Amino acid sequence: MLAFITVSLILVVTNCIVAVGLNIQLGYTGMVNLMSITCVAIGGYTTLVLAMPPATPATGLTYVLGLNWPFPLAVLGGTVVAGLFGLIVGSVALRRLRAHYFAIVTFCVAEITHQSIGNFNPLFGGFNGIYGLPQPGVDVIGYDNWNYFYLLVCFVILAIVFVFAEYLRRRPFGRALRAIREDQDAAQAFGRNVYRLQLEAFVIGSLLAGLGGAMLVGFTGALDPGSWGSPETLVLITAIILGGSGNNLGVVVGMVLVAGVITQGLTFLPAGLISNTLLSPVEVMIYGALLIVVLRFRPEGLLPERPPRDVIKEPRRRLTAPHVVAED
Amino acid sequence: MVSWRPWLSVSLFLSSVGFGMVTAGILALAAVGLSLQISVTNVPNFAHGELLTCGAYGALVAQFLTNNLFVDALVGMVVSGVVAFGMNRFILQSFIKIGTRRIYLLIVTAGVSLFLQNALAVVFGEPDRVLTLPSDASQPYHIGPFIWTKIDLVVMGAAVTAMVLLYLLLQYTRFGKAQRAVADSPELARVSGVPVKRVVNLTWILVGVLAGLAGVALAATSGTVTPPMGGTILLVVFAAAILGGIGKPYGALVAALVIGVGMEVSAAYIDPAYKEVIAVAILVLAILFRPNGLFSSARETW
Amino acid sequence: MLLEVDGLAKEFGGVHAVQDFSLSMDAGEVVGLIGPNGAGKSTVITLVAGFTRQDKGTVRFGDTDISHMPVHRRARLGLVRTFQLARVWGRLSVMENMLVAASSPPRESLWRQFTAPRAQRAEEDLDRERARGVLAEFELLRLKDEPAERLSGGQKRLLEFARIVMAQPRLVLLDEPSASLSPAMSRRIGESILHLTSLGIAVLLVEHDLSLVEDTCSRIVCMAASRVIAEGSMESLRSNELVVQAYLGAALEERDLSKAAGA
Repeated sequence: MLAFITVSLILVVTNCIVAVGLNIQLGYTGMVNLMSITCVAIGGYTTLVLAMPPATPATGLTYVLGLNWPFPLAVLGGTVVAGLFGLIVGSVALRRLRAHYFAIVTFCVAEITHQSIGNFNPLFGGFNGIYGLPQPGVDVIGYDNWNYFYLLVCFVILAIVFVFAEYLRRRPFGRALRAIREDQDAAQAFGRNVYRLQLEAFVIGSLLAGLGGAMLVGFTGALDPGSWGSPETLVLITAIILGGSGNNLGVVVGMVLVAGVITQGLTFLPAGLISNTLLSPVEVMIYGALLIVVLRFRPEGLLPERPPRDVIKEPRRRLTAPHVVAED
Repeated sequence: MVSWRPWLSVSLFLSSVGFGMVTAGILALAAVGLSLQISVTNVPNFAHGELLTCGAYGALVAQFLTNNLFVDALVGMVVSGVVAFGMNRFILQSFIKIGTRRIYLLIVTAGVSLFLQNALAVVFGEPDRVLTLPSDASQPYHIGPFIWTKIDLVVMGAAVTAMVLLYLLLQYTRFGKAQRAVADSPELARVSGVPVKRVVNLTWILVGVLAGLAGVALAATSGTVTPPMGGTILLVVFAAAILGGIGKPYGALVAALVIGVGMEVSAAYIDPAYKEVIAVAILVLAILFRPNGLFSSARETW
Repeated sequence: MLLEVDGLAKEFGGVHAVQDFSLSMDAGEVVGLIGPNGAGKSTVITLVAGFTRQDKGTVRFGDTDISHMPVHRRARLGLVRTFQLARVWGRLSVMENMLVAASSPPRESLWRQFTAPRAQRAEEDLDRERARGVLAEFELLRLKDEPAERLSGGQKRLLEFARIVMAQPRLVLLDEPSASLSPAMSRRIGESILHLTSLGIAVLLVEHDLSLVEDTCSRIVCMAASRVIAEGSMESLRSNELVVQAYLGAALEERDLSKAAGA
């Protein structure tokens, strides 16, 4: 039972890293990014091809590179490449500032990337994907406790990411992003370079998506196009909106509910109630319905966004008596 | 010595143009509908592909009663019309009423899309279904330089007929004029006494009917009925609708021809798996450089 | 000369929205822009602020030719606008609205968030103090932590003005600030405009409420059917036949318009 929970938690925590990144794009800045899952995949694939040995015909896999890098370095590589991907797409897609153009273009990029990677075997193994990454650090930790160790690592990373996102939110940068979300034209009228701010938010989100993908791949050891399509994007967006877009804690709660409870909970239902083959479609139906219901009746989510409070820090108490100016 | 390779590539080219025209017919039905829909509701419907799928499944179900393809298609069209009406009236309008921002409406339609796709998967099961066609459906006809099967001809004929009927509807009927007024400016239409809500509802039914026909045609020519069948060509449909110019149904028609033929011709020369990638790439380029379509006036529409 | 607009023209889909619009403004001036609906007044604001690119003509602000500058760069030079419907940042609190207005883009640079947090916070605290003062003047202080979307229409308008005071621009383009407000609110808007002037901010006021224009503007320009047809004080405009005709909705001949423009 504990092992099962640990596994679920690892999946949830890595997805939370992605969700916090998407929250910066969607929750803070109001950008509907339908290619988030693509950045996750790019981060994952890059990590795999950096950390694994070169592809040989013996394994039956085909992929580029294969540099045998240590896992942490490969994670860094995956994150950076995902961020670069976001930079390239964003710098072009954000030129058209209107929100729905951007959403459609990101959806297109997601589709094109999905089809291209799936059909082009030499790059990332095509539809078979890549598998066989050994568990990072297992020779030091040992197999018995590895899951707990990995969960701890993921959790620490999530904590750092969370603090980072919260910090940004309270700073002028985060506030500028939120102003853009509320009214782009007014933000421009007050001197904000909307394109640049949106691009920065988009790249940050892409980096975090890549990081989440990299950590996910460290656990699963494998990746193939079947696990990153439009249903997965929908799951991410549903989690964020359900939990509370704009509120990082809300987003984490939303992801726990969506990825954790619903997914794992469905596996507990008696086998006769839902045939095994229908499990996936039923899940997606639930997410779709959940998304619509939440947007209609509680769009702010379970934990709504709360603007940071207006407080002025008290000046430090003087240690000496104020200097009295002598009368002239 | 004259090599016969040029012959091969000419006939390959022509046969792919022939395929392309069939694809274009299906695409035109879906894209013209999408263009009309966006022009009255101002939200790109990510569930538009599912309207095609519903039409195909509707025809499939009708086949339990009759194998008359014509009747089956009609049933499919009715089903799609109803689903489209429901999508707008019960879901989208409910959001518009409370003032939801347009970008979130887009997410809603994406949710509807995935819900419908998977609902169909749950109800009809995983294995691919097949639409039973009349026995002479694959009989080939040589018309000029092209080779088409009987079903290809039927599909193209249906598409042309639908386009002609649509033209008559939009140009000469009161509904048509009202629809064009609403697409141009809902506020102006409203103050001029046009029953905007009713026009919108009827437009959606029309869109559904066209999409349903497209879905049945797609099922008939591709041979299978599957839950994701509409979703997989959604972006291609978007490409035609946007390239043709939102609110310009005839632009969508021309764009459908260009994209449909272009897709099939390129599939003959490069890996056919990328044929949709090319269409989607066209969509991206259209949005970036010509969001008002190839035939645009300077006016910004949506 | 703070603002020099010369020969501005714009057409949309074959229809002339603005033709041959020219205007000069000094620092601290309040100029009114009036005219019947559809005359092109709002388009002038859109063009000068940079939200739409003009077909012809130039705009100079201070010593700089801003004719081809994007909106945000014009704003950074001190040229700000409001919109016909009060556009506040709804889910941000009133105080946050003020802080965004006060803040400058360099302060928000991503890099600086991490390299100079304490300096940033000190600057922001100064802004907070100043914002509280300004909010108090506009009688919005008690609402400072409320999300801006919860304010009434009139309060949102006042918040817009408060934000402008925070931003300390050199020129503000006001687009029908009293639209859909009560007469009492209109008077407060008038006071707010004079408040801006007292701070040295020049104002170009597009308005339908002619008494508001009369109370605040030293010079008035009248447009009709995309052209300027008269300029001067309110009295001179009242007795100007073209202006009267425009407001009565009589169709003006192109010929008469160009005559007036040339006169």
